[in-house]
Amino acid sequence: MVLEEYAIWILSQMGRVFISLILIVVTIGSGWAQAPVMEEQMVYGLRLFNGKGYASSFCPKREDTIYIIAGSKNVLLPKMTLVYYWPITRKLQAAFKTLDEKVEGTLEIIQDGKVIRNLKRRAYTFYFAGGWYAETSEIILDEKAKEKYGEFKQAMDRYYKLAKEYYDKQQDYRKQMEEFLAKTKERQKSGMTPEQYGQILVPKEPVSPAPPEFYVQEPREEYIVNLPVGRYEIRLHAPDGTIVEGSEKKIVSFTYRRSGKIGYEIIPANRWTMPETSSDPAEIIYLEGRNTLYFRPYIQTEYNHLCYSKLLDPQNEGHSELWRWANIKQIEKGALHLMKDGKVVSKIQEQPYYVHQVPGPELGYTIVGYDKEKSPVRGPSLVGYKVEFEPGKGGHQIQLVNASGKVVPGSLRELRAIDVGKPWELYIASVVLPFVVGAPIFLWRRRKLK
Amino acid sequence: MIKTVNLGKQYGDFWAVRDLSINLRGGEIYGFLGPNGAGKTTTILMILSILRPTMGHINLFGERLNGSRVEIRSRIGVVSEKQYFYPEMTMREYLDFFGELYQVRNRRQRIGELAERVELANVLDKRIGAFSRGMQQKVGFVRALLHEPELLILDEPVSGLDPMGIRQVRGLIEEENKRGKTVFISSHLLSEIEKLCDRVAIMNNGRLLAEDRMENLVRRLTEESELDIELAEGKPQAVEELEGLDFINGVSIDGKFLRVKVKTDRDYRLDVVQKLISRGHVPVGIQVRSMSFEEAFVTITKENISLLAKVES
Amino acid sequence: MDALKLNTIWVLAKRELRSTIYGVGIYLAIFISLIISSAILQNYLRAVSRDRMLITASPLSYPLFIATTVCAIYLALASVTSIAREKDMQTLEVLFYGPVDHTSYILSKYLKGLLSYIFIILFLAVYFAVASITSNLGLSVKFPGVLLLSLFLSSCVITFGIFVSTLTESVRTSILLFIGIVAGFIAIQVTHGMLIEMESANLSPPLIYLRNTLSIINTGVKWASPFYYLTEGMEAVSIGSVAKYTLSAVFSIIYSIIALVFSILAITKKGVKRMAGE
Repeated sequence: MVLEEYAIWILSQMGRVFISLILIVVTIGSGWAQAPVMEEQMVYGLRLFNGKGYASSFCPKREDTIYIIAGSKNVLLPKMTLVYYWPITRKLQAAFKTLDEKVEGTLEIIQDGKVIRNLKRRAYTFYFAGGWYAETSEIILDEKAKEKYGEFKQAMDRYYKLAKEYYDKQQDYRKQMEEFLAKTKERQKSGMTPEQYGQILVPKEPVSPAPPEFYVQEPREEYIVNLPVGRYEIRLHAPDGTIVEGSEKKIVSFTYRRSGKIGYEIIPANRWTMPETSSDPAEIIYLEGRNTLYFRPYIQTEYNHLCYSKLLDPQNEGHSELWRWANIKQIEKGALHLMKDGKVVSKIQEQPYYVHQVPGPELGYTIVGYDKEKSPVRGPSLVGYKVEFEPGKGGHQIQLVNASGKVVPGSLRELRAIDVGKPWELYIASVVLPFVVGAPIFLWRRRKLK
Repeated sequence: MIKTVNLGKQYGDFWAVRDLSINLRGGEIYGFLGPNGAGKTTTILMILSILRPTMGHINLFGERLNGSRVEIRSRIGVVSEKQYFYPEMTMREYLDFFGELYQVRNRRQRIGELAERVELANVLDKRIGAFSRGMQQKVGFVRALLHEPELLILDEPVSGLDPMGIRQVRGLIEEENKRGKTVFISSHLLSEIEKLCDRVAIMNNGRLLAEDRMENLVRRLTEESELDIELAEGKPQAVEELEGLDFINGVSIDGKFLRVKVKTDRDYRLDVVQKLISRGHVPVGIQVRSMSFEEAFVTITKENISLLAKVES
Repeated sequence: MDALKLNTIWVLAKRELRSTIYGVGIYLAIFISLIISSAILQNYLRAVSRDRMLITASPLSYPLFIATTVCAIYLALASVTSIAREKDMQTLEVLFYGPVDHTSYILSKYLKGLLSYIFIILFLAVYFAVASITSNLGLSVKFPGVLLLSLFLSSCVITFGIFVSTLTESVRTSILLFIGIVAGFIAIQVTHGMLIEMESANLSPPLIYLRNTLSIINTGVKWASPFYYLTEGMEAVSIGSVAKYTLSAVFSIIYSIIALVFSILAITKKGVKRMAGE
């Protein structure tokens, strides 16, 4: 009985402590309504290669390691700024617009206690072959960066010139249209028949010039870091020889585990701005009802989950024992086979599509085939394989076939339609299963004991 | 079969058993007596390795017990004072469970036979939880005998039984003993101990006070016993004729009945009868009146008399 | 371990398993776990229906995790009360008259727990097979692996319950002690989890001290709590980590062995006889 009383006492004390802790935490939590506390820090702005382009982030003081892909060029931008905690994202943010002060010095790369490189700032730019919104970009250094930017500027100058000409032509066109419409009114008033009109020349609308398809950022000068696989340290040596406080960081240069595998970006027609990805052939794509999906196959590369997550943002969490796939390059020129029970039911070609906003007060859009002639200015919204999915029992499969007709390994995925249908079936199974087994056993036992 | 050497069990400052040395021989029925709290059950639990001794050691089947030896316990059958069962089980299931535990061969048949012996065959498929105390005690007995143990340890085996039940159990014990089983009985029922046991040990306050055959115990406790002799014809001179004998402590006559007090160092009945006959008296009957075992037990335990020293000398 | 001991373990476990299967408790636990899983599955399907699409390798893992947790709690409570109940009924002493020692007794409790869980798994397997068919979710190739892993993880919970049971003399005390310990584990983990989410700049020194202290305690609690292994294992399945899956299984085995050893030591020290006054 003594132990029992003691156990009850322990429980009551624990209950009191727990409630007290909850109250403390809630009280503290209510303090979130106040303005965030800003702290001036030395941070590294980061433009790191993520396999296909450059991710933008920063490394605050509390993160001691920067992760980069081995053999790639990465940009480190040491600067003084204000850092604050943003509870909504639960991450630190940098107020670059308030304070963005470059920190001068030489960047030392250290390995095994020895300085292996001393880096100075270099000119660089980012070249987007597909335009400002392109997924992929490449870094160009030094004089070539300036040259490339020069090309872009020339292209932009040409464009501006053509745009001005277009504007002038637009003015003329409007005048011509006004005259044309006035004459048309006169003809209508005069009672002339269409046969009496004679030759009527409709003014031709001028074609607006297409902007350059590529984009080049204005060159800047920062530290370019390119390292083989390994662990390093970096620090910034100020011009006066001292180590800049807060500049010492570790660098982990990592590489991929596997490459060349196939993943899909899947764009549902009903929410095209929120695509999904399927990296693992074991994944199943579950759908509800009829669906229109646009598949964009990619070549994938597998990186360590922790390293890659931290590369995207040093404040991200990751699992060192896990691996994740990153889409590197979109696969073009092939066919997607839609199969049912192993048999091909349709062969789908890759097509460009355009998202057409529904005019008027209604909100919405439709995805239509892209016609360059009709929309010379605008490019396609997406390029992919359009799959019309019909629900049914069992599953469908999709598989990519290359231009030579061979199946691309690792491209198989299963699609299944979920049946939400009758919820009571599950609840009945919950009751029936234990009852069907338990009741007979229970009754048999009771009868035996009687 | 069981030999304890200076066995002891201490709880804090209290000694439940101290300096216990008993010797149970194979084939005998050994009684273990003592008032409540004497230390009998503690001794049994130590023999069964359920309690660890604080001092001394135990030899069981000729081997010294070091820790728990489960294979030795397979040779022992135990009936405790109270029976504890899994109430949801039937008698058959309960016995089958123990039979399987002891790896009894043909256990179904054995269960049937034993149930017949204790007259419980018709309730084999009833729930034990519904049995009376006496029936439960019998089930306990059957359980103890299932695996044909060499040694039976019985703690108050007839507790809760009616006279018929007591008789049945007594019969069982005697039968099993005749089949070669050694029986160790701890009981308060002196009448049963008297009827069954070859030797007894008497404990009190954790100590062994006596270990011997019952008649020897009685005899060692009393200086004299009384012979009641019936004569064909009561003659007062018989008193004088007997008083002269050196083994006679006193003689009196009451009508035809002579009361002769004799020493207890040996049996003097023949000597007395021969003397009477030589003097022309005709003894027609003779009875020995000595201290009963119950009186001896009460005397020993009440006065804490240790008879062990007398044995050694 | 000799044949006699193995036989003892098997016979004792079999008796208890029969008693469990003849009773109502296990079916009630299965029913509750399946009802909760059904609710989760229904919500899950509705969420998929709302978003129209979901990509995952193992959609049944989470409901299975919940079902396993509920059943594990039942097994823990059954284990917690098992030895105490036998002491209460004094049938434990009777067992020790025979070829039963502390090791074989504890191992029989453990075996009975595992067999009970395997019995439960059969129901879970059938239920999820039915669920996968009615919802057309399909059973992934990982599902048998998940079921197997859940056996290791439940082993931790069972052995934890056995250990708690060896510390007490009565059923009521053992339940109270179990609830107290589990509540303590949860309180520490939840409070620690809340405090580490907060920035140091926003915490007062006492709270920082509390957070640091709880971090140390939480590390110990993490390893001592059987439910930690359950959640770690399920996380391994949900994130598809083979290494983490294997480690979970190995750690579960080690935890179970340690708990069993402590149980044997505890019951040897406390004895099998119910002490007077308890």
